[in-house]
Amino acid sequence: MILPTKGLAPDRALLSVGATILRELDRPKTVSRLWEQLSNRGSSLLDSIPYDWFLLALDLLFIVQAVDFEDGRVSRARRDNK
Amino acid sequence: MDFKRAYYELLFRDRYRDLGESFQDFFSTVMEQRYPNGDFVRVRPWGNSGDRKNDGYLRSKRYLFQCFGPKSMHPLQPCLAKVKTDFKEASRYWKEYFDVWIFVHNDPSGLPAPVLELLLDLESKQKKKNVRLISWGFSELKAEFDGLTDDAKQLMLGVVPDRKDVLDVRVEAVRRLLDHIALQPEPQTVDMRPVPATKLQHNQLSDAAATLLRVGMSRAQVVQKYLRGVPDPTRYDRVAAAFRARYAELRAEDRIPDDIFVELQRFVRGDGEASTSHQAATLAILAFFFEACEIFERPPPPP
Repeated sequence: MILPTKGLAPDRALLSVGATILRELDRPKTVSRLWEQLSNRGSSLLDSIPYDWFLLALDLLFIVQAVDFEDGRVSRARRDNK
Repeated sequence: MDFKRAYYELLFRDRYRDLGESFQDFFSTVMEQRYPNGDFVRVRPWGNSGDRKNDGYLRSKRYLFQCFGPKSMHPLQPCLAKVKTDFKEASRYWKEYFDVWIFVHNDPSGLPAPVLELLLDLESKQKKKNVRLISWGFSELKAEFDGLTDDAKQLMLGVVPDRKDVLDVRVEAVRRLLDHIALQPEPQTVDMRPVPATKLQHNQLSDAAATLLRVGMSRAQVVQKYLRGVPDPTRYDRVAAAFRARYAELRAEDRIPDDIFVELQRFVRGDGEASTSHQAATLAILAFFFEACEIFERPPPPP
């Protein structure tokens, strides 16, 4: 699911979908807003991705700490310099 | 090999493995078609006399047949006992009428050596009449089947697709078949290596099966198109896992590659009658998964 397989094209793998989502996160957004913007991009990729697959990609970004979820909005994770 | 002939050959192979009375019925039907007008006589048990150890008689050649279609030849003792008893009884009732006694069996891997030995032994130990004792297996019965007209084959085994039906395969037919495959969970790891060119040869499939697969390959991209287009991105992996599981089961049963091929056809299209378009789509589906290395063995890498 995360990586491409014989049957899962590279642009549909969760890693790629996650990268596409990150590119849209120029500022914090709600999940619905994010989905709506991605769907309206007219990208052939997102035409063929169902909503639950989009959510799985978001889950992946959250698990690897690439995004935060605060006040009902998704945002790119802050990197604290230590 | 001609496509239709290849298709009939595999259907024949499948029916050849019928058991018991079904096998005898199949054998009799082939022979009746091959030697019509009363030349081959189908025999059935009659009251207390039974069939008097006669499962079929070919007048023109004076052949007397005895069918044996068990689930397995093992253990051998019952088979050996049957050969002895049946030949003895057949000689008792029919000796003036036959010169060749033929033991017809349904084991596709051949006749076990002890049975052959017994046939030769019985032949050599005859005191008076010199009857030949031989066995008929898959190749002999198939040779008779090959002698049938196309109409007779169709009567026996049903309508089969031709090459054009495969070239006409569309996504809809593929979808209807694959939607019935019970999906397996996604696998943890996947083999991504490309399919080697020698895979067809390596798997020792017969000419007939190889012909069907090659023709199916011409429409494998229809299957790919369908699988890539479904909304569920995991569909391919879960269908592929179902095919791998079924192939592994069949392999574990020690079946020969052609039998596995026939069972996989059944796995895709289900039991019972299938239209020629479904039969054709089944070939495209099997060819796709063959090329994707989800079924059959991958040859070892070259040294």
